[in-house]
Amino acid sequence: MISVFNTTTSKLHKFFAFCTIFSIALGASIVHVELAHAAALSSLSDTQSSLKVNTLSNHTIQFVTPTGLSAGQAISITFPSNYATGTFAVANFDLATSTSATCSGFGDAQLQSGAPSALTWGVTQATGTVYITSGTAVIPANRCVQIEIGSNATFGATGVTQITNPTTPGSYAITIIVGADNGTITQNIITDDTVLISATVQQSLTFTISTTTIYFGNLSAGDDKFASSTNTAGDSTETIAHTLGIATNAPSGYTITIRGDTLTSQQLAANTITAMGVTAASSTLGSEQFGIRATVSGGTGATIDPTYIFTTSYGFDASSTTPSVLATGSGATNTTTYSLRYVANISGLTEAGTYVASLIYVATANY
Amino acid sequence: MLIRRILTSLLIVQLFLSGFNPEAIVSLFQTVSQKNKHGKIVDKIYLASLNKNVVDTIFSSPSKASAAINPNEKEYMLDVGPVNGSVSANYVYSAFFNPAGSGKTVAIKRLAIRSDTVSTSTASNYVNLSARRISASSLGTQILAADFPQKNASSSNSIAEIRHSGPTVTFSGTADSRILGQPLSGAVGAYYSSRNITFGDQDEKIILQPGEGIAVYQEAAGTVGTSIRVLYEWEETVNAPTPQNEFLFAFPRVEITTTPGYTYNSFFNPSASGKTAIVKRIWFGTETCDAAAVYTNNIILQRISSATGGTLIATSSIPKKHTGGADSFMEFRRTGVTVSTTTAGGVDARIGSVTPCGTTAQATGWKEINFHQNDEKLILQAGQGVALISETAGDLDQLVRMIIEWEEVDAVNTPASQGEYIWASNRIEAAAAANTTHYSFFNPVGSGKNIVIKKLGIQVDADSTGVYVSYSYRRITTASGGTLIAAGALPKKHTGTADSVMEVRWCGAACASAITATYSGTTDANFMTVTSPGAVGQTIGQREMVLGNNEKIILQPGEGVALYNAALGDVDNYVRTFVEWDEEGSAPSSQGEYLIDIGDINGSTATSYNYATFFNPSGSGKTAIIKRMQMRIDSVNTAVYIPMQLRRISAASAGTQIASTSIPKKHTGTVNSVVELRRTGVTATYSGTTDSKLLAVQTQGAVSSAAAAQTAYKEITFDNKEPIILRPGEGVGLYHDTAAGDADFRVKILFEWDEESSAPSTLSEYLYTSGPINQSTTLGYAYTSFFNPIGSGKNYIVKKLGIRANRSGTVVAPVYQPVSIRKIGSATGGTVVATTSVPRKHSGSSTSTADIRTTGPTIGFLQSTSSRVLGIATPGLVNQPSGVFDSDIYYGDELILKEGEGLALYNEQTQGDANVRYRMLLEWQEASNSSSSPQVFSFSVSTSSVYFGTALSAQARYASSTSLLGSDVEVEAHSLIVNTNAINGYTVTLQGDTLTAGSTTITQIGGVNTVSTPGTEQFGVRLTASGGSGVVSSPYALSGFAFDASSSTPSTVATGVGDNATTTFSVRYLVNITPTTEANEYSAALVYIATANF
Repeated sequence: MISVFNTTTSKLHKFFAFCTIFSIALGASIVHVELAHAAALSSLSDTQSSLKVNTLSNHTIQFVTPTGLSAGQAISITFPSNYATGTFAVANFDLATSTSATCSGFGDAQLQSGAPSALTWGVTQATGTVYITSGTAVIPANRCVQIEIGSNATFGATGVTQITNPTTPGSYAITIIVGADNGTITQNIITDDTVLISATVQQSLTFTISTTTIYFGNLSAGDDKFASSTNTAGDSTETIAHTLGIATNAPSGYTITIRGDTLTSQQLAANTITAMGVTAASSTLGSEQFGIRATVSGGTGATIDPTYIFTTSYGFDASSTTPSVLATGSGATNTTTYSLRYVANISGLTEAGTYVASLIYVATANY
Repeated sequence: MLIRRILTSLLIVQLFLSGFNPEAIVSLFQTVSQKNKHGKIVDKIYLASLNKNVVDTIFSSPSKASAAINPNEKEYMLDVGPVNGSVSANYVYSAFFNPAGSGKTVAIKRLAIRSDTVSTSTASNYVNLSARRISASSLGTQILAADFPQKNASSSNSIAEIRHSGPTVTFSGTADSRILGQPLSGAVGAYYSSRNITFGDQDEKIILQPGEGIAVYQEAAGTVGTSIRVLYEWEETVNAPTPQNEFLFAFPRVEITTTPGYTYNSFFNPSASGKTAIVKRIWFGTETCDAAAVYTNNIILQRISSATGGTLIATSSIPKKHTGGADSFMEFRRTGVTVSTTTAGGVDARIGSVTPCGTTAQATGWKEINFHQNDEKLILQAGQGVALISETAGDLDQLVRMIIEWEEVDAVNTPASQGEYIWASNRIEAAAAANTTHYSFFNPVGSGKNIVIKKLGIQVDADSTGVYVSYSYRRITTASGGTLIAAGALPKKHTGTADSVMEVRWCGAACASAITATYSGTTDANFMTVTSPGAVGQTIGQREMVLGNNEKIILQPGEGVALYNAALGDVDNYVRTFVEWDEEGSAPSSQGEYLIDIGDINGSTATSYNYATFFNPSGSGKTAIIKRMQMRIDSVNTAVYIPMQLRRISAASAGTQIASTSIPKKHTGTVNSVVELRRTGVTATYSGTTDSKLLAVQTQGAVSSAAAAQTAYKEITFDNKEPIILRPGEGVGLYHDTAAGDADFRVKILFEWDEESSAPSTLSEYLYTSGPINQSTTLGYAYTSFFNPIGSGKNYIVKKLGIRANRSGTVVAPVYQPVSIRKIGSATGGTVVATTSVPRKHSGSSTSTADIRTTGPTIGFLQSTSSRVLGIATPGLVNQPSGVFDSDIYYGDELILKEGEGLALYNEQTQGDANVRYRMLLEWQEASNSSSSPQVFSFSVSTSSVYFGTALSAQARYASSTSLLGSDVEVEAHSLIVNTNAINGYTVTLQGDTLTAGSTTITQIGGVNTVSTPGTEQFGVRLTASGGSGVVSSPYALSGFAFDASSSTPSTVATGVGDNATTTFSVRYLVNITPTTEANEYSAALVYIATANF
């Protein structure tokens, strides 16, 4: 009996001893790991260019490493499998560090594909994990590190491959290990990150003619005559017969044309006062002339056709069948005012009669 | 044996199941302790750990330290005030009341009452400021229970009613029934008016049952220029504890022209009481003087054997800590008591003694004797007592008081003698030559005893202009001559104890009786040093060393200690000492501890100077465990205000190295220290950044006075906390930098430490001092924030908090403004202190997870302004101490900061100038919590299409998600919803071009918030925020609109802290056009990106 008890005691001793040793060994290994001073990365962020599902996105990842990184150690960034990391190219990555724990004033590091070489870091990619490995380069403790992935990686060469976001909305944790430090960044991928805003600006065109009747009065071979809207006898000095006003938001502006025949006798339609034609000319006493000239004020982008633009010359090359362009506008404009002057001269042989011209002004917006 | 095996098995199984998580053990013990309602198991383990003779093989962590983590413990703390002074007699500053029907019992564990005078235009006033029990409380200003800082935010709200600023109360008992008493602060800067009592772990607390309370009030008309603060720490329980028959009584103060031998107060245990009084605390002396007085008398505390006459105070007026207990059996007399001291040892048998104040505002004459919980108390059996006596003629203008705390037990339960003694000296007034031994304590060869010194003190006061000379205690190996104090005159704590074997000598009142002593080591080998005061009213010459739980100073036969001066003394310096000791038959084993006070080191005018270093050299094979550090920087003439701090170092050389043989051992059986101690111009390599300060002070630019305390002292002990662990290659150094120092500094730094062959396990504790941060004039400005970020996975157990506001320049009104620490729920901005710069007590601990910011962080308070954890008044003159206040939070009931909680030190009011420097001291443990919060981040955009419809030049148009025609009035187009617990919050940006049609665009408003102007081209956005703490960023936050983004450049529209609360941003869009805005179909694609910063 005593022998059995002793055997049991011995076995118990062995069992306790085994458990104790195993516990101590395993516990010690745990403790050893803790003594490595692993620290949590801080100030972790990943700024994406798009949070939309299934969309290409750049990533700008920043974090502060409390411990820093020694020569030969690596930074790894692991994207959840829901991200499609695409074709690897070293140009897709930039690595930069700041000079403090503040994430600004970054200085870029040289990267190369594959293994590191001296101060040039090596970049590799395995499925969803990117490794950036130091050769001899170090990152001091308490520095902010920035890693750009995608077309935002412009140091050396510009990246061409972006990472495609997961196809399902939700939160995804990107894991980062920097030497002995580690951390995660939770990203939130959403159905759509874009707000499309629409607005309509309706077309507008405003065209006005200040009056519909103007008068030369009696014409004389010895005196040029200018039409007036207020003096039925016409004027002997040039005056503004009427105006045209135009405003539009047409992006390509507008065109104003004149259509109508020259002054024509009411008694005999064959008798006309000769139009001055396309080439502007001065008023000449004793010769038959019917012409117009225009000036412009207000608005923007207005151009008077050369036939009508000169200050002392007149022209008229329209007919009832063929419009003549008076002016154009190059784009949207507030009200542009054209002031029109009409001149008429006759010769000593000009047939007597009542002469009338009916001119139609047409404004056309070019949207 | 079997039980041990079962326990071992349980531990192993627990370890396996937990994945070898050491916290499993903690959890197991906590579970066990929970089962034990009164926590006795945990307490016993803890108490065992305090006993150096017990090898703690069970539990290496301070188990009680996290007690308040349990939300079922209803623990609270609140600093009430500042409450402005009043001219009304009996005005109540603060009342704490447990209302009838609360169903709870309150245990006040700590009560601190401070009075500061904050107006130079107010006449001094020394009216009694007293604390008494009350039975009713109403009116005044009640602080909502929701604004009491809970030590554990998960605790339910307190049931207590706390009022201030003139509540109406009903006092219990007579006016004599004071729990505490003190005069109001008189002149500005005076610092005597402070009572700060923390009841020991084993002592009865002030128990307030339903219908009971306490109030702090003035007994006569005060002045409006006074500012009162009352700090409470308390616990609430469902069940009232059993009375322990403890009492706390503040005698009425006595103001009288005394004759020699006059007895102010007596506390006497009558012969027929059948009781024994166990005295735990006696505070006594002159609280201050209210007019010019005399320095000539000694006020002493002595044992007495009888007491008659005077005015008897009714026992019914003696405040019981628990009203359920019986009335006291003691006799209390005041004002001219007749006592007998003859059978209690005669004139030299002083338990305590002080030099009283000699003029207004002085704090020099007050002394507090607190018997340590592990030491023998003063035992007063029937027929014994103590009395407060004026040895010579006293002065009417000396405000004299005694406060006493005791327990009464039946005589049959009188504790057995533990062989301890307590003695205070007479005073010496002499221009003693350098190196004159003033007092010696020597254990003679052949005594057969070993003396265990538990407390040692120096008191040097000045009655006129004195000299700044060092007085120090050192070991001696011989002592003879002088005047020997009779053994029978050395007071025993228990009269059953035999007479002491110690030879106590002094050189006489005029130091004419020379002591011959042989000192050990060099002049560096001092246990403790003070600089004597150079002027009246200075308290720089007073110092006390309580060895507490640490190894005591062991004096074996043939060993002693002596107090000497380093240079010629001055007859106007009054030198006293006091000592408390045990005598044991056998020598305690060495515990390997050391104690040294390095200095005086004269100040340096260099811009950067290392005064002293403590370095454990590589290869030492030992770990140094610092248990106490005390920095004392005195200024002995006009000097400068500069920062001086203590940081970890990784190397030290040069300077003057103190020989290892001159490093004082507490026990001469201890081997020489391995630590390299250097002083005076050391070369040191500091670890971490300049932020990594363990302790820091602002030096004094002028000498101290009664109204200008020694503000450049910092003392810290690590009882019940993780000590500073210095492994080989690690150390600490004291230095100044950033500005030239001053030759008139006298720098001392004391270290008390242990040396062990192996480093102890880490306890994840941290000690950090922020600053100096210049005062901001801005209301609400935060000097320092301390935040436990969401996701840290930790609970912060805050053990000590301190505010240090030192004025170093001219004041501009407003001044004496309150600066407080309150709990916060967020902190952003400011200057972030890198977590790697947060000093670990043990370099094996993980980097702190704390988010610490200084210099104007943006903070979000959790409660209203009155929820002060701690507060001070900024000093109105240089060197005023009102801005310096530390709080050791009650052990075992520390302030718990869970994830998302923090503390901040901030301006409660606008300040008038920038001439104050702020520091915040934080000592805490980071303990894993069982529910570490995972990262949370969600973001959504409510819709992806919004419409303006047709824009018009005559009218603004707003986008709508529901109407294709848009809206003529501003409406929400869509929302952005964000929620995260990211430590550093989040940012929302928008990126995209303005409304565009081909090559045509509608002009964006740009980066300036602009009102809508129809007829002009405008495309803009504005946001509003609701819920959570997210805020809209400029320029989108105002009522106008802005748009500052492009397709290549994002623009930040909103930010937020990681409050784990949802903020909804309402987004509104505006378009205006001109008449000439090109007709077209315009569109804009705006990408919203939310980025969390964890």
